[in-house]
Amino acid sequence: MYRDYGPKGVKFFFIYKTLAHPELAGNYVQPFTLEERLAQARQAEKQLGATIPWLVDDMDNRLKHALGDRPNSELIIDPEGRIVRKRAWSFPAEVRKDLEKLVGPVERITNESDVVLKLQPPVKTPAARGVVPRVPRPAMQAIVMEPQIDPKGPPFYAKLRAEADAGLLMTGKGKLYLGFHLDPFHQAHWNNLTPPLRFKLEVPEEVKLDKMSGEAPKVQETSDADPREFLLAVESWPEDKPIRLTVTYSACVEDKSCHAVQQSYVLRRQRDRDGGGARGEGAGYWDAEGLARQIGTAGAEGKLSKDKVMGLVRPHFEKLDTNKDGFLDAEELKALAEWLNHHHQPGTPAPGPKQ
Amino acid sequence: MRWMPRFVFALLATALPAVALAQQPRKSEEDFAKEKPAVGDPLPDLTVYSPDGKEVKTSSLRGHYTVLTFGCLT
Repeated sequence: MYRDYGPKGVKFFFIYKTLAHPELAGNYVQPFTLEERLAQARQAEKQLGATIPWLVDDMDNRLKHALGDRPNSELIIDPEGRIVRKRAWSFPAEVRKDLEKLVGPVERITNESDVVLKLQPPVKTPAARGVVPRVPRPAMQAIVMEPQIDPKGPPFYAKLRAEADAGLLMTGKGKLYLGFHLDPFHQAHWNNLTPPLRFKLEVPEEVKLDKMSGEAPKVQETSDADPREFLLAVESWPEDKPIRLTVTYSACVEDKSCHAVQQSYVLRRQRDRDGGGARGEGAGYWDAEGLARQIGTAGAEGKLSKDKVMGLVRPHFEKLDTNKDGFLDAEELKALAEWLNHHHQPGTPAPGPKQ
Repeated sequence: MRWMPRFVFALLATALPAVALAQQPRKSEEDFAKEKPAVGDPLPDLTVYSPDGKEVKTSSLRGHYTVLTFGCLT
C-alpha cells in the first residue's frame, strides 16, 4: 500500500509506542528512558525491514493516550490535519478501500508476494535462558511502578515488571508479582559468582505483605539471563499508600565488566494502562469479555455467577451485581472494565450502587 | 518467523483470513469510534520523535493524507 499510495502523495508512519506484550518475541521489556525506546524503534525498523518510517511516542505516552490507548490502532489524517478514519485495530484491506475513496484507485495493486522485506532477527540475549524456572502468574495486570532514575547512575540493566491480580487491584488483597528482567538492549547477564539479586520493600504501616524482602535462588551456572521473579501475598494495600522497593544485583556486560547495582522504584496499587500484557495476555486493556475470562468462568450468555468468580472477587460480588440478579452480566462487567481502564485512580470507588 | 512482530502480519496482509476477521473485536471498534478525538476532529498537536531522536510535531503532518499505525516490537 505504501508503494501504491506513496507516489500519490500519501504519507505513512508507524508510531512506536509502549510494548503491547513485553517478554514476547525477543524477551523485550518496557524501556525506562527515551533513549531506550528510540533504540527499540530502531530495532523495529530493522526487524520489520519495511521502508515506512517510524515516529516514536514520548515516555509519557501522550500520543497513545490522546488517540485512544489501543495497541494497534490506525488513523487516516487529511491534509488539513483532521482525522478522517479511525480503527481500533489495524486493518490494511480497509485502509486500501479508504484510500481508494480519498485519493483514487491505483493502476496496479502491489501484492504481498511483490514485496521482499529484509527481516532481521530480534536482539540476542548474551547468556543462556531456561536455567531458572519461571514463576507462574496467571491473570495479572501491570501496575504503576516508577523507576527512580539517577542520570549519573548505571542503566537499569534489569528492569522491574510489577503486576497485580484482580483481587489486589480491586480490594488491596491478592498476589503481587515482582519480576526483574534483563533488558536485551543492554546486553547484560547476571553475575552468578556474586550473591544473588535481593530486593527490599519499605512500606507504610497500613500495608501488610507476607515478606518484606527476597533473594533470588543461587544458580550453579556462572551466568544466565533468566528473570528473577517473586510472587508475594498481600494482605492489605490501601490505594493511596505507595511502596518503595530497592533492589541490588550484579550484572556483567559484553566487555566482561561487571557492575554491582542498587536501584529503587516506587510501586502504586494502580493499574498501568501502558504496561501491556506480558507473554501474550491482553495488551493491558480490559473489555467485559476479557474481564469475564480473567476473574472467573462465565456460564450461559457470558454471565458470571457468584460461585464461578475467583475467591478474591466473591466478597465484592454483591456490590458489583448492581441489578441484583445474582449474576455479573455484560453491562456490569463493562462498568468494572471501564473503571479498571480509565478511572482506576487512588480514591476512586469501585463500581456499585452509591452508598 | 516466531519473532516477527504480530502486527506485521496485519500490515502485510492484503486480505485477512476469515478466522482473523472473526477474532476482530467488533465491540472494541464500536467503542473506539465513539471516543474522542472522533472523525472530523483535529489530530492532537503533540511532540513525537524520529528514531534518531529528533523532535517531530504532529502538526507537521499536515499537507497530505497521512496513515498512522501504532505498533511496537511485541
